[in-house]
Amino acid sequence: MPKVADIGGKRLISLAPDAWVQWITQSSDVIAREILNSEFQWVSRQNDVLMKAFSPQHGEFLILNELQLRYTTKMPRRMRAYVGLAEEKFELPTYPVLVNILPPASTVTVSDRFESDFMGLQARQDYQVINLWQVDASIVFDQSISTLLPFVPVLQGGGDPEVVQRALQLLRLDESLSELEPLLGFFASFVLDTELVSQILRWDMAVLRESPWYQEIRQEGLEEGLQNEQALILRQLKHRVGEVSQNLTAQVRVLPRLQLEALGEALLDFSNPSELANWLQHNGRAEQS
Amino acid sequence: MTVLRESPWYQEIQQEGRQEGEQSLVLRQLTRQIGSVSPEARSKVQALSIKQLESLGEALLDFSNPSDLANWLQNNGNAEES
Repeated sequence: MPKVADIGGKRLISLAPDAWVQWITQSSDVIAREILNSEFQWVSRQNDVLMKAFSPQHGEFLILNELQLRYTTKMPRRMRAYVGLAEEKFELPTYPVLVNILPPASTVTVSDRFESDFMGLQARQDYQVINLWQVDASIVFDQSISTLLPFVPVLQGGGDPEVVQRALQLLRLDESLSELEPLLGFFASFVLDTELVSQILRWDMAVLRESPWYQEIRQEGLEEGLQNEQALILRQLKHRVGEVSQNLTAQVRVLPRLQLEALGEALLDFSNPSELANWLQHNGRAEQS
Repeated sequence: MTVLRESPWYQEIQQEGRQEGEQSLVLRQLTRQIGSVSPEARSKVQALSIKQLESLGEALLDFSNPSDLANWLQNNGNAEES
């Protein structure tokens, strides 16, 4: 089972590739051919899906899907760059689509075009913009755009508990979709209280807590919490043995979790800095290097 | 989908994890300092905010018996709010 945060646009689009490309191009004769590897050198890309599509009218072409949580003013330039990279690599015309999940700040206007004019030289790139909050949730059900199922809560009219439940039922009907359930929950939490989300989805929190993805996210927090633990232990040390030298502080900071926890218990018996130094000498990183 | 990391629920779960390390550290230190921590006191400690937990972490260095913890919880815990 993939990490829930690693379930990407590729997975979602591959649920219903034809329905997806037909919807974003608004042409019923476009079909999806394949999802391409879009790892472009020099550019870090995580939220994009590049596909090859075909239509009788336009022949083979690329569809570049860029998924953004919130639109920023950097997007036009980025879209232009990605289109350039995709066309250069695959030598096919490209239909770029920017999908914005949540509305941007009220001061930001979503632009559907990159334009520049530098020393009299001009560039321009248009792209299709899909603002999910403006998409009517009912089209997901009417047009079977399964790709959008987990996004239902953030669509227009999708924050209604009954609508969220309907999306959930569809996900549960199909075993291959059930792993997307947490996704639905996460998107729901953008617009609804998390307690309400778990009620709507009728999730048993006890069971949920045991699920692998829940544990993984908790583990991420645990790693981050290590710094707080370090800080607490350093304060406790100061309380116990007085000022702790920079050198010793640095040694405490590099202790792995288990040793940090052992130090947490050992320090209760410390009364001067040399006991800390001693402990670090016997348990710290120094001897291992 | 990296955007998920920003969802409120994802962050709540992460926050749980973030708090867990300090919680278990403080509970182990308490057990060592005062002998044993009753299930009741344990659940009170688990309900403390990060800030409260950290101040308990410093206070516990001067504890020597279970009543020190009980007193501290009475004066600093969440009990009065409920």
